[in-house]
Amino acid sequence: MAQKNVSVEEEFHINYSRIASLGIEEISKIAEEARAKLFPKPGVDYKIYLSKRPPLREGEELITYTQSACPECNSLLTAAVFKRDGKVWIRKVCQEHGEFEELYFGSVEMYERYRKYQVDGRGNIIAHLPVTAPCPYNCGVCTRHRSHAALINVVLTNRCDLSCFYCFFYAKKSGYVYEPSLEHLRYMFRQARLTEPVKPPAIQLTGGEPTLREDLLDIIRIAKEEGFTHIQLNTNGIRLAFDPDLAVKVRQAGVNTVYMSFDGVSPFTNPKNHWEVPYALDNLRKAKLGVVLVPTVIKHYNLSEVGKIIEFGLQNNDIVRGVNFQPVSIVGRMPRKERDKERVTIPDVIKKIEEQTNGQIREEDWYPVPSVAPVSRFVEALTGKPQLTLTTHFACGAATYVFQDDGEIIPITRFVHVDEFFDYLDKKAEELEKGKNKYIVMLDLLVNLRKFVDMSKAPRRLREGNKLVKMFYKIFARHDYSSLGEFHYNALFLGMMHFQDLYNHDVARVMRCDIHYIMPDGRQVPFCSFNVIPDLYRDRAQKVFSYSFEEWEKITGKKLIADHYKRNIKKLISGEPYKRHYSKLIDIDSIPYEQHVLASQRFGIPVIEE
Amino acid sequence: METFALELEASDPKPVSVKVDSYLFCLSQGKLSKLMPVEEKEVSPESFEDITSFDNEMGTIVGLTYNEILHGTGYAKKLSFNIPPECKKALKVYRIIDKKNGKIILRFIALEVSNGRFSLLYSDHFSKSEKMESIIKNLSSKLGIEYKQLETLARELA
Repeated sequence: MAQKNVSVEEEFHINYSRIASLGIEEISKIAEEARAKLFPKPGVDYKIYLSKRPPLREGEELITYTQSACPECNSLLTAAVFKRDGKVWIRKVCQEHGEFEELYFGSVEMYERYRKYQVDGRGNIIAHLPVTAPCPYNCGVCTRHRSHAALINVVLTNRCDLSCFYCFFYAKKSGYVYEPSLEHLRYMFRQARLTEPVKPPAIQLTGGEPTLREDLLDIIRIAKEEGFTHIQLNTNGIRLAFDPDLAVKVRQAGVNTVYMSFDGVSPFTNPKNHWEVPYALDNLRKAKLGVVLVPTVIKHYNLSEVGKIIEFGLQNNDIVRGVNFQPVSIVGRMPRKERDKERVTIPDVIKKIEEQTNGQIREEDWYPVPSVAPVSRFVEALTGKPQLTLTTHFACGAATYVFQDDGEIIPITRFVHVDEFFDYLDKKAEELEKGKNKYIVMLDLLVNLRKFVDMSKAPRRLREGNKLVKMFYKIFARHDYSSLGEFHYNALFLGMMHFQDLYNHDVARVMRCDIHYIMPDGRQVPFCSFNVIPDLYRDRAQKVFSYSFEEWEKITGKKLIADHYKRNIKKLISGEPYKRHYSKLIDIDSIPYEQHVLASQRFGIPVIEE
Repeated sequence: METFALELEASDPKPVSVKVDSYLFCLSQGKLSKLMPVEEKEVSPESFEDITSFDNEMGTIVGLTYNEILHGTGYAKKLSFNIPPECKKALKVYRIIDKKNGKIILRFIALEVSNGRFSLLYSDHFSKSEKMESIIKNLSSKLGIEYKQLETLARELA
């Protein structure tokens, strides 16, 4: 039975079973008390060593200095970002742990091109915390943060049905079960939506494996009740593959998009869910629930397959809405030589995509995230209402759209003059901000819109009846986004999001982050603080609000181990969906069964044969 | 009490060419009087307090933190003031000059002074696009002084 008025002072490690049934007001009180205790402590959790600037060596050219955390002790250091051999590097020196150097961005040319698009955002007027420490030890989010959150992530559980060898996050390895109650989640959602002038519209339900929660549909409903209009479900897809009703149920409850891990097209590059993905996709098809494939890209592992991943996305474009590549974020401590085998950055992936698509998707087809800010500025100037604006650091992400036309891949940049169009929108926004009549501006837009589109190069279905220009006009002039569905049909969003780690960490990037986690103590923490300094944020907070294994098993009447997935490869590879999804991309018959088994087992997922 | 000043030229992650001056006014018997700093010194990169208070003030109302200082060339100064005992409220004014276009923006922080401690009455935020008239109206009510006095001050500084 729940005990009221549990004080953080009395029991800092909160026995979660005692507060799980409390109402939102009591949860809120406990969370606030805990927050003060969980805050990173100067001198204990980190030190400040900013006076020492790292040396530059022959052949190196300084771009800028910034701040970064020490990979060993989390202390704040001055770092140099510099050019060498056509690439961008970061170097820092900790007084206690020595020098660290890491690849920051794989191309100077792309770095300089992307930098031209940098704009700063509005941040949050209503802060969850006062500024009492330097960035990134004050995350929560504070008033100096430059971007408002575009997407809120919330961890629903740290339980997982997989046990991937590299993961230290899931319940079994972390030693506790983190699983906030429904009222606790409602409190967290409200905390996430406190911000002004722009409230985050989108939320991603993540884990662990969020589909393990039996009350997932209630959580989706609560997220909608609390004002989130776009709900993403981040999953490994295992349950979606075996439960045909799950996709239908989550869609009906309000999920808009599924984010599904997908690291490659073969069992060797994607031992996590290679065998299950075809079945998950079929179930998502039946439910008409769109999916974004999320490959984590590691140099020696799957960089060689990025082109095929896109091909897979295009082949399943009826249900796959996008591919969001994530160059690896190196978790934990790792020697330089090992890191060099894994490290890839956005330009490296983009170059490989160009190579592997035979130049169909080129380097210049990609734009950094903040390049779209003029669109928000224009709509804001037109409507007078603050708009969601993507103002991350230019080195954090990039994107493009591609279309299929008679077997050819056509990136949007081939028929839309993106730079000219964004410049035009910026100028029109400025005119509106200075008080120009909005109807005159709209007329100008109507007249000029076609100048930015080369219809002769557009995919056929967008050419017919000037569909594309009409669509743009509806979006920009009437804010009628219904036509976006048509734009997305047969189009594939390609994204690139490079989350940081302690080796390439840059405070200037953290400060501009627009993907935030909401923590159980109510703080809203940028992705690259939450996951990059987990001992100060993610793990510290979640551990406090957790169950012991015994408590969780007693309360639920279940065994943790019962979640554990065992793979029946024989059954999966003999199914029609498996062959249909992969036969055009890999020679499925040439892979011996034993190789499949080995790939799965090496990854940490046991194999059964019934 | 402290205020900060800076001058910065930077090109990464975006071009910045800015000078920020600060002024501190004491409110006593309904009148604002300008105070002069008793000490001016560089913000120390080794001082937790310096960096935190710089970020708190400049990061919040100007949108520039110590991280930006590292990114470019220029200076970041801390100005210290003695507050006379008759001072019941204080007004900090930050005058931001964008050197690229000569545009000047004023940002304000109003504080209540009691037994040597300060509590916040009003603070701007770097993202605020409120009209000066409305800011002055708000400040006038928080400080309990005439609108006109603040309007004149703002006009002189802008």
